[in-house]
Amino acid sequence: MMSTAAFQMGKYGIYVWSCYGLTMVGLVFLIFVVRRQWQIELRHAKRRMQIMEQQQTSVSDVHT
Amino acid sequence: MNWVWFHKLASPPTAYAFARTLRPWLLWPSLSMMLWAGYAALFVVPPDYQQLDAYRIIFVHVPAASLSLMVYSIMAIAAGIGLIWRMKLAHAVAAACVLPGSVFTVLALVTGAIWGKPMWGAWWAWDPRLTTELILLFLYLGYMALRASFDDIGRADRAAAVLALVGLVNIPIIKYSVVWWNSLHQGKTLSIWGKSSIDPSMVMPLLVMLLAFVMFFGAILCDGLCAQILRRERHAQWLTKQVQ
Amino acid sequence: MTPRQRRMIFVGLILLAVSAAAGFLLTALNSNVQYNIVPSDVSAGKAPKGRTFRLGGMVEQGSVKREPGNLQIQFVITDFAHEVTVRYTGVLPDLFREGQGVVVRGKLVYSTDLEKGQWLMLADEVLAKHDENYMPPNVAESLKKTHDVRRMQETSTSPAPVITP
Repeated sequence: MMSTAAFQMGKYGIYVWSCYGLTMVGLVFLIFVVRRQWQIELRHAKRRMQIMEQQQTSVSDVHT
Repeated sequence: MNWVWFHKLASPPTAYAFARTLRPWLLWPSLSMMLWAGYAALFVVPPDYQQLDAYRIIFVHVPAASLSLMVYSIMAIAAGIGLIWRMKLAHAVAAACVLPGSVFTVLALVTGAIWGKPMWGAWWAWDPRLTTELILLFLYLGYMALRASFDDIGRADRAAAVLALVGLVNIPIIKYSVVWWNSLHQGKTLSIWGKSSIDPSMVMPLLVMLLAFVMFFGAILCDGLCAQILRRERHAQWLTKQVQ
Repeated sequence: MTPRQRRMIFVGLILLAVSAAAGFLLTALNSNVQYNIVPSDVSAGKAPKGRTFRLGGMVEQGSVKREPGNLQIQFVITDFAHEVTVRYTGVLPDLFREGQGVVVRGKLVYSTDLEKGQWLMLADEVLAKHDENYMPPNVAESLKKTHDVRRMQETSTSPAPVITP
């Protein structure tokens, strides 16, 4: 069992914990924002592929 | 020297597949290392003789600050390679570096301010180390703004690369600012070749945290690079296989 | 010359030009503006007159005097050659103590009724410096002890010749 003194750290608990908290927020932000950038690009790429496929099939329909 | 492997890796399809495979191998070990190092830093290592528990901020401040410098160096070198060899993938790496780099710089500045308030007695001082780190943040933001101001991705790459190379001179100034000037900021704590000035009983969480930050950046770079590759290779044939 | 070599030279020139400019700027800064002025500069008359500046040095042992009932404090800053007395009202950083490095910001006035020197700094900010050494209290304690023992031995045997192996 951890004592509350370990969390309070004298009078410096507020400083130490806010630093660790902000760092965690920054890192989690990076994970999600950059992953989202990738997923958005992936979705765009998929849509382009679909459109290209449709165009190809419609062109071949006309020719047959 | 055989450069075949390099050219292979530098081709967008291989790089894309490589980054997708590599990412989980960097992210999950990095996060578990951070968890261990964070626990040890907060609860296990003894307090400092002078700063008591306030020095525990070093375990997040130093890795964030080191990474802010490291990421900028990688960004500028990648930009230089892209400029000289006209390598698209190098420009993509540089473009993927700027967001994590600026986040690390903000974290270094903010945790430094929170550390400075109780110890030095001020959130901010116009100290050489602090001022040059703030310039680094402006370089990152300037790089982002410059990139956003071009519609053509090739021209954006070249203009941003010149800015990144110009800003590279700031990196050694930040690193040696505490040596060159008698300033408020203390000297370096960790040393690769010499003796570190932190007691052996405290050094392990710091080293593990630093390594964890490096691997974390690698994982973020994988995702950012994939986003950049998809944006740049929008008409390429190989995408069909990767996307589906 | 191939286009690639031309681009290589272009990148090299950027790096060269910028580092040369930064180098000139830094040497100019180094000789003109010091971040901290030290007490020896003050007694040599090199401190700015009537303008706020930063003074750095060590808080002299036994020099801290607190005014009872308010936050006014007076102490002496030394660089082990010269001293400047500092007067300050306000909250001090936690690391402020005798023997600690500090940087104070304020204006200098001439005063003849001081115990040490003739220069009085009216400070509006006191910042404490700390070094890059981090260690647990017990390690610091034992380090201090061995250091003291060594120093005592050195002083007691100071005239002894140094024998080099």
